[in-house]
Amino acid sequence: MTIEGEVSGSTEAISPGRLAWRRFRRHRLAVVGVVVLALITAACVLAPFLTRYGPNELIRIDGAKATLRSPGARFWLGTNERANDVWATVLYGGRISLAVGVVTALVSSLIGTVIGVIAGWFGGWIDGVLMRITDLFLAVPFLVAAIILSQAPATQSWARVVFGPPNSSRSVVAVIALVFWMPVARVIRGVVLSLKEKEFVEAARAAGASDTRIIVRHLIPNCSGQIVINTTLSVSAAILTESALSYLGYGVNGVTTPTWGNLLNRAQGYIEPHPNLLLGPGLAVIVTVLCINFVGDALRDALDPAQVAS
Amino acid sequence: MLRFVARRLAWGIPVLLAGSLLTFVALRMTTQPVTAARRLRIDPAAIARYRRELGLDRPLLEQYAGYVARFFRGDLGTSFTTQGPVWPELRTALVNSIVLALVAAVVYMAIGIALGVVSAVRQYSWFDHATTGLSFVGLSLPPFVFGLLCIVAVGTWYQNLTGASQPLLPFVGGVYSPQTQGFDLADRARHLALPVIVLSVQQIAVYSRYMRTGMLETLGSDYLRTARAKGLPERRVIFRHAFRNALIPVVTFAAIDIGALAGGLVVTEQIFGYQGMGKYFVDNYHNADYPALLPWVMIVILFVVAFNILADIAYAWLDPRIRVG
Repeated sequence: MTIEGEVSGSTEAISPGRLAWRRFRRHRLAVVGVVVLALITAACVLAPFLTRYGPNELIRIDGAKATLRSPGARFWLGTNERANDVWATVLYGGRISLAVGVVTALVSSLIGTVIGVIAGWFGGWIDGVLMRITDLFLAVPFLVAAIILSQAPATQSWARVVFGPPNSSRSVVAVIALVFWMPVARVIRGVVLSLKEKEFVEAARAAGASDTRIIVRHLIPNCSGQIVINTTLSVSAAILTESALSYLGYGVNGVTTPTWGNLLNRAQGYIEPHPNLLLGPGLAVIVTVLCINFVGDALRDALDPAQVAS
Repeated sequence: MLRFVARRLAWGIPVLLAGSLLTFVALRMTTQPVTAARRLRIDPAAIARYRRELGLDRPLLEQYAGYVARFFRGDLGTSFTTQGPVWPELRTALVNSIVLALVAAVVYMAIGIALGVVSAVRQYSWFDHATTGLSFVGLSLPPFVFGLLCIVAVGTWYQNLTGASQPLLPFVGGVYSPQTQGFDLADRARHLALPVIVLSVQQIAVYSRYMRTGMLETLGSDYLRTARAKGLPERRVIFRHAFRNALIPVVTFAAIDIGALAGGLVVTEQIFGYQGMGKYFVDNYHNADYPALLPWVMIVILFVVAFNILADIAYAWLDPRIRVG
């Protein structure tokens, strides 16, 4: 541990990574957020060791189905209408919800980065076409687009090549990624447009570097801050979208695979007098999304100092 | 300016056409009216007849061209489910969504902008920290979790607490109570309350953060220093100089935002059974009623594109630093 601000007189070099870490650390809530996220992830990954029942295990007490039990010592969050342990469904559901969130964010950032870099670097008609496609995708309300896309694997067999089986977590990832990449593409294009004018890019070009080399060695590393920030914030947006799609009945199939989204969807019929069914997965979503947003905000501050901290 | 407007229109029309074509094809590929008809107990033969009469067995591109031509002539077609004209139901949904959007926009913009200004002026005060913290919470609440909690709160919890026989606010059944006759403003307002609250919680968070960032940027600018150096009172510096400039990006953002609201609030409207554009889409998509959905798509994209252009024009007009030719 070094003591901040106590380096007077020394000219110790600080790497950009360490500088970013220093700025990140200033956001105490973000540091708390990282810890809480690590705990939530660990709990979901280690679900078999933390739960007594499986997520789809039908619990019987004295031969009778134990439906809608109140929270207590045996069932920490009670049981639901299918006689499953709510605590177990929340932990196992978190595996899918977190994985969907992270994978969706990575895929949509990848699509957005590729399109943004190509549009910004090559310019001209390539830029025109790619940005018009971006506008096009932005013109349709994204939840509506997601609902329509989610039905593609159910009605078109060729769509299953990309989407996998209908109502699978893979199809939900593909659906959300396809409606999420546009903002990333726009941001990255903007960054590339300004990088293009920089001397080091000109130098690379003068030295005879190919387009691919400039993109991979110079442009993408210099966009990495923006990519990391956008990916992080996409994770929380993807988790919220997954839950919204599940609420509307277009998400992951809840009969076989619990997710926070479809748990919430099923809970709505039992809110009164069983609010535990809603609060379990509901708090899981809210706390996770809140922590990711804190972290994303601190990352913005740490990796993109040009922007006003907010 | 005229050339600028013309250029934006030249951008808007292709986006409208291509966007609606794309959605048209996607809708046709993912809806199976015959399966839905069996579920709804509509005679599949009737559907087959409609398809022929409406030319829905023709090639997709030809159908699309015909449908766009009819749309702009004011003929919005016939629904599969109701077997009546699409327009009356669509008009109701559009009006309901516009009412909800406008009322909510007034509420959340006023509150959001005010919060943003105060937290920027008093940066790092307890008020600022509280606003920032609460807006993070607002952004992290899934609308339907919050909506469902609102329903329980105004219903059961309120009734248990006060012993009232009626819930504090109506939360199902949409836009007005079935027994009302004519137009009852108070009744409408009570039905609007919960959707407006659910929408506002998120949007206040968005706007207050946006406004705060904008204010901090202008408060740190050189012309603000000049204004202060001239000896202007602080109130005048903040409102005449900082606030008005910080508002410019918010206005453009708001224009785009309100255009998107014409597409309805899919989740919020579903929770409260509010018959707006979002619920219209979900219901008709569930019934695979694509003749009812195609005009919906056209209207929604029309709004989005129009308000995008409006936002650009507003931006160019409000900010003298931007000169367009």
